[in-house]
Amino acid sequence: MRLRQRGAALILFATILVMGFAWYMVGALGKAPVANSEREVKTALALQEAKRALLSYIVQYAARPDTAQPGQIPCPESLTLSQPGETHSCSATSIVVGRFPWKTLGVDPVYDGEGEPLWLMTRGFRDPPINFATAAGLTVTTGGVATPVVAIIIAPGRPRNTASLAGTLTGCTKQNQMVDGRNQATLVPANFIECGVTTGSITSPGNADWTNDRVIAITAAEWADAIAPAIADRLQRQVAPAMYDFYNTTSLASWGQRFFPNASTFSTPASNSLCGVVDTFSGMPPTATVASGTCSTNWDSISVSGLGGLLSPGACFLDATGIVCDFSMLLPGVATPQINITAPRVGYAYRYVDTSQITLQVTSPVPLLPSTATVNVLPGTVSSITGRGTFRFQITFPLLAALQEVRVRIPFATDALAADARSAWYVTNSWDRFTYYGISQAASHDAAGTQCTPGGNLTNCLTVSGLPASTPPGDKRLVLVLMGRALPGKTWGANLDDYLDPIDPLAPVPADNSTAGDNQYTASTVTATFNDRIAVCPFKLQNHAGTDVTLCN
Amino acid sequence: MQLKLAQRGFSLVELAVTLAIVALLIGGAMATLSSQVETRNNDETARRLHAAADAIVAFAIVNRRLPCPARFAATHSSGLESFCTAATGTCSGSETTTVQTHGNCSNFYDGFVPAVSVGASPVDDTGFAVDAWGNRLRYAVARNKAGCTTSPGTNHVFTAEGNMRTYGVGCRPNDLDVCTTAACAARVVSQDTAVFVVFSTGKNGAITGAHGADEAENIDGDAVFVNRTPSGADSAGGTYDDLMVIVPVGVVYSKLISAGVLP
Repeated sequence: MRLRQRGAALILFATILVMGFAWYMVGALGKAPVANSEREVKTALALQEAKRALLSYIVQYAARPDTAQPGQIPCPESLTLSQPGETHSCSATSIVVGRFPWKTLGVDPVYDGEGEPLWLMTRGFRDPPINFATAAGLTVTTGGVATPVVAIIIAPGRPRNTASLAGTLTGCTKQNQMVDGRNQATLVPANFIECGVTTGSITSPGNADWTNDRVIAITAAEWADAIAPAIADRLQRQVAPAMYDFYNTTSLASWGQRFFPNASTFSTPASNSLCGVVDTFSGMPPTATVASGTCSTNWDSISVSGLGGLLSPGACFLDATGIVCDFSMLLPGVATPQINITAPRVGYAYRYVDTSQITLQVTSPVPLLPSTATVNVLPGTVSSITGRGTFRFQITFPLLAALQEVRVRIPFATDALAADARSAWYVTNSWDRFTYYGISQAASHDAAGTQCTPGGNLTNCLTVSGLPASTPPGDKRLVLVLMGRALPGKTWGANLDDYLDPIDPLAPVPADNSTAGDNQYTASTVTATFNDRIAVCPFKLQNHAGTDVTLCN
Repeated sequence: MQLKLAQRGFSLVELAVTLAIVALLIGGAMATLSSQVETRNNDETARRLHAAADAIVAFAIVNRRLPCPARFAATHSSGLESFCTAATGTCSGSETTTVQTHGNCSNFYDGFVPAVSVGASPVDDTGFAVDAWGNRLRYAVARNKAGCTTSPGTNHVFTAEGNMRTYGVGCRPNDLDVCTTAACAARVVSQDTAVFVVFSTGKNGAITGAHGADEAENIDGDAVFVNRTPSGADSAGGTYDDLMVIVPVGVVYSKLISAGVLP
């Protein structure tokens, strides 16, 4: 009997024990709890990915030719969960908090280490003007240093219960986030984010008793550096061509002469009048939109001829939007008077006469509604000395009876850049205050014998070095320099070299744009000590086939 | 006699019980192991997809264009980009691995990661990048464009060298459509966003007839793709285990801007 009990049961028992242990270990490995450090790493990676995606979207959105407010920051998701991942219209000025709009940005949903969707907090950067000077409305404090930021991405972490904490902490809410249905219906930000929802100010890392949120922010400087290339691209592809078309077509049509308006004398851009000045060919762009004061180009005199005995001229008077003249028919017939009307400072501003806005109205004996007048524009003039412009046109009245009275309204000259869809964003968002403007005198209304003809006489053209080989350096009539944000160690003051960058021997093309009036500019790769970006006319690139593609003539 | 008694061994009952217990334990362990292997394969495939996407963007920085997909069809491109010799139009019988400056890919939506051209790995013995199950990583790139500030006409923007700069960073793709179902009831990302996608057909990639309707949409050669959570055969769109990385055009532009290639 003893021989039958040699230990087989023990072997069996040991086998089962080993197998059981192995089974447990394999199972345990599959379900091993993730360490806190791993969760933190995952959260950090998710925040970085979200920041990259957000900045990339802002850049591409800014570069689109139809974006009216380049640099606009997308709104978060709606709190009503109606369109997961998509931006939702949001306040232009308030603090806006919602989940990260991953779908609009074109990325997968982004989750933190606890599996919670990320959140986005923004404030402003929705309505114009949006530019380098737009104030960041949020704050992230790290190591006691508060940094203004334009957007904060938040990883909410696990829900917490801070309701029973003693005392208060500025900006933080006492809240039990462990509530049923917090992911249903309308989201309550305080159920996910402990601090900063109402103040827009977050400390990172925050007080561990109060918050477990992790954040990453986009600083104003990061935002500015990101959108600058997109703005520069639109300067070259939209604003410079719009200015060139004013030179080539619009100015000729209204004032009888091709010209780029003179520049405004350079001074602190934020307070510059943006009024063109006599004999000034580089400085700030002459883009003031005011209709009165020292920048005014409003009509100030008018004369009428060619009445042909049919008409009796009446009084002309100025109103808020233009000049109005009344006429009386002496005899029945079709009158075609010629009107000469003049305005100051035309040579110093991007202004033209929109003939579609010239109206004619029969006012007596039976008043009729005004209608667009039939106008034949005659060659105008611009004084090379004063810049005063004369707009001349012949107007054709309809067949009228004797004693009928007619009113003609000629609106003030229109702002060409604001009226052009390609450049409206530029003036609306005051990017003109971040642009240095240079023209060749030969392309001004006061050429005074100077010459700049691309493909011909280049004696007085501007020279821009560092351009692609497809475009010559010495035939430029127009240069726009996007003055990047103030470089480290600089502040935007009143000096030109606070904005345009002086000689940078480290740049791929040794660059210097801050010598005023030398007609020499440099386009170069942006470095830590050089961030000017240049748009020019003429400018062309080549496509894959080596064919020239003209961006500006 | 005593020796014989010493070698009696176990009874049938003992053996049966032992084997049953061992079988149960091994079965349980195998199921857990199998699950772990699948998780690891999924993670590894996701990693390879992201690496392939990064390699494609790096290629774009160096070559100032996105690569064309590799092909394993009429002409086997061995992991190289596959172009059409014609500058425009749908390619028919004129595929080549010689780089064509016009950027007209032999097929923009029905191809593979050009692993040899972009330097992705690992690859199979024919030069194609593969996922953790050995299936080739697929790749589709935008052919059409919209919203360019400077009109490119019929020229390709994203796959022709230098054209992203020439025609501007305002250009955006407008053909790749990544949806949640084959019928595209909802989109995964907004339209005009994805400039290329890289994806794996999952574990069942090489199994004929194993694809649900949503998976089939990803390999039917058109510009509509499905990216959604995995599901079994009983779900509305059928079996789905594809893994996809979607790259928005803004990300490509940003990286090219950072590298000084654009604008």
